[in-house]
Amino acid sequence: MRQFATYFLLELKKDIRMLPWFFGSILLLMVLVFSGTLAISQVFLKGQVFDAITVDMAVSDHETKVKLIADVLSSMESVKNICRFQYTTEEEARAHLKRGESDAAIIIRDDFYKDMETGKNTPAVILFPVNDTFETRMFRQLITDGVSLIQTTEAAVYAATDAGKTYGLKVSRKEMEDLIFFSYIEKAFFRGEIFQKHVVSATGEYGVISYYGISGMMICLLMCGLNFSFMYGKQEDVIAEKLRVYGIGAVPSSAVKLLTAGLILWMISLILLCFLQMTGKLLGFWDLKLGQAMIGMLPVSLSISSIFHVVYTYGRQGGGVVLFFINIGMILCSGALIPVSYLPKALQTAGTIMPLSYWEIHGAQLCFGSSDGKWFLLEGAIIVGGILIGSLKGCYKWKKD
Amino acid sequence: MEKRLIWIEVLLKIRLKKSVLWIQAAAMLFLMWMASVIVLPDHENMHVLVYNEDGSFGEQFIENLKENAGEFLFQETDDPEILRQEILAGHAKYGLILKAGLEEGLQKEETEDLILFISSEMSDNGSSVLETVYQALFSVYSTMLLEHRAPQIFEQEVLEDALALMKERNEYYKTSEKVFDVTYEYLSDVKEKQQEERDVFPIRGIAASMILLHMMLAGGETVSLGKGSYEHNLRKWEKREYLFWKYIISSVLLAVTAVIGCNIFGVGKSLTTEVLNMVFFLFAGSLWVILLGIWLKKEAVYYGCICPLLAVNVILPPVFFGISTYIPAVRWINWLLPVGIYLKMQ
Repeated sequence: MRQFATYFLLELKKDIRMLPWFFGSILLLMVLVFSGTLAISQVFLKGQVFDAITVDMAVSDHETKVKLIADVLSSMESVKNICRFQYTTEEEARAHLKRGESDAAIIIRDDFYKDMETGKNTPAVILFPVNDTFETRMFRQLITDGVSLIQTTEAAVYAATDAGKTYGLKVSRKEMEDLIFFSYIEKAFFRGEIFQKHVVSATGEYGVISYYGISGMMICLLMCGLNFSFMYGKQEDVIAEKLRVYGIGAVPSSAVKLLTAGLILWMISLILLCFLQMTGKLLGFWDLKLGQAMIGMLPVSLSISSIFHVVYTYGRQGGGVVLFFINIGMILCSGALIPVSYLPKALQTAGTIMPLSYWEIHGAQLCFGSSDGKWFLLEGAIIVGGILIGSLKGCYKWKKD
Repeated sequence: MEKRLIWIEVLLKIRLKKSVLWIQAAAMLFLMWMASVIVLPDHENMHVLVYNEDGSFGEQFIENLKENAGEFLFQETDDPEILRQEILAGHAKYGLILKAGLEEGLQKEETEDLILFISSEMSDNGSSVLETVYQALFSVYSTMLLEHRAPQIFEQEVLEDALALMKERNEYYKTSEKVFDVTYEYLSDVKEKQQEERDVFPIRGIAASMILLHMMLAGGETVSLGKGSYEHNLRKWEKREYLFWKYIISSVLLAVTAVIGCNIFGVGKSLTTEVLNMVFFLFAGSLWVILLGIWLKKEAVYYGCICPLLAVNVILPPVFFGISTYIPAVRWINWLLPVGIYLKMQ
């Protein structure tokens, strides 16, 4: 036991001395991975959202009521999401569109409002480029929907007028028109209340930003494994032989390697957690349960290190590419970059057996909620497995000798 | 020339005998396959699933919705759970559940929460599709509103006949030219706007980053061995030339696998173009690793830098996402990165 403790402390001291050399690279990695995951979350959040287009509204200065209506329309949510209006003249609107400075134009002729009031339907002209984009088509759809609402209202007023001509009206024509018009307009204005909105999340209970924050941390820790290859050089075989002479067998030797690497990784995870907490608080995203997360990350770090411990034990420094493959495979299947629900069934199934999936859930629970004990058991099993599998090579060599 | 051929032959023999290299090649193909089967939700997906709980009125509304769908594609489903799963998977952008009691609610003019609208956290709030849905519903609802308002307009004795006429005229006016309309005019010779660079190359990017990592690890061997290495005994420029070939040869198998993989997974161009691009990438990568070796001489520092340098090569070039869309300067930085150069050539 004494030899074991001495060896453990020596190995830890050796590795900690290397930590300052890693520090710059860890900081760079941290910034890169977090900005990368933040960018991905933005791609996912905004990738399916329309880019608002610029629409020229050509209307005479004296058409103040039309401008007022346009201002009301442009403040509506559906309109705001799709386009921005800018007032101009008809000539300029056409020129802007030709030069690609706007995406569409609405031409309102003089006396448009007066015509509307007198029941004359002067059509508005909407200009589009021949090769319209998806966003322009969505704007056209919005116009069509709006026009449909007006048409439905007008059709009702005209129908009542026609029926009134045949069967007579109980009220004056003006009263009848107001009654129908205002009932329809009221329904149209409060159309939002008919919909009960529900948002489903592909990233679980913690939201997209938190999900990618935890993903960033886990990807950093996984990728840090590539830095540890120096601990598994060719000289390690010679050291293992010497250790055996001093009574430290393959299993304790493997355990020391894994534990020291895991402790270094845990220290890195503490830096990452502090970075996460600072940025999260600064941007108003979250307030981590820092104490719980700091302690809880120890088994997570140890279990992550058991993966690269096994890879490096068998692959030595050339195991780096294999580790990279394992990391990328886990990142793709476990939903660290792309939410699992977007993946094909085969990858979703593969993701359920990837440890990264569990580290992510556990990491999120440690940072934002309360941890489930089963994850500690699972991580314990991975650590023990890592020690035993890592020691098999030494045992085999010892038996061969 | 003979010396170089001997170097290449010996290096090739040493590398190809390493079983781990063959495992890496297989792993690379596997990762390329994984990247090829992942399909991200389409930005222009306008698929809307509808589930009806309201019987015949719901059916009538759905038919009206399909007829006036415009840019959207409304499709009926018979399972609300499938509807949720399809939205989560990004196959459908939105979902509508027409609740039981929709018709009754409209009849009573109690319209609150009659339709459940489901969207994903990854999509927008659906305000545009709601306009389309409402205009289709409004058209059906209009008849009910006329029925409700008729007693206030007509005398009781003519009510039934007046209402019948009003409904008939209403249907006529809805499709007539007498109601307000807009005229769409399409302009030709319009200058097309420059589209944002949204292209990403996950399959090529993964292959290139694995090759680069392999080269960097081969560079690590040189740094680790230091004075004990073969190349240490060569003259300065001979040593650099030797290293240049060493890094290229160490990655030849992976490079060949990458070219084959690109063609298998449908992203390859002609074989000549692929091979030329790959040769250029190997040259760029090898020079990059030589410069790295000159700059970082300490083993721990070198290995410590592998990961962030690899991350730079994966995150800045458009491997999984185009960061240059948000930060235009990244386009120029990509010319300094081997993976960036390789993807620029596509």
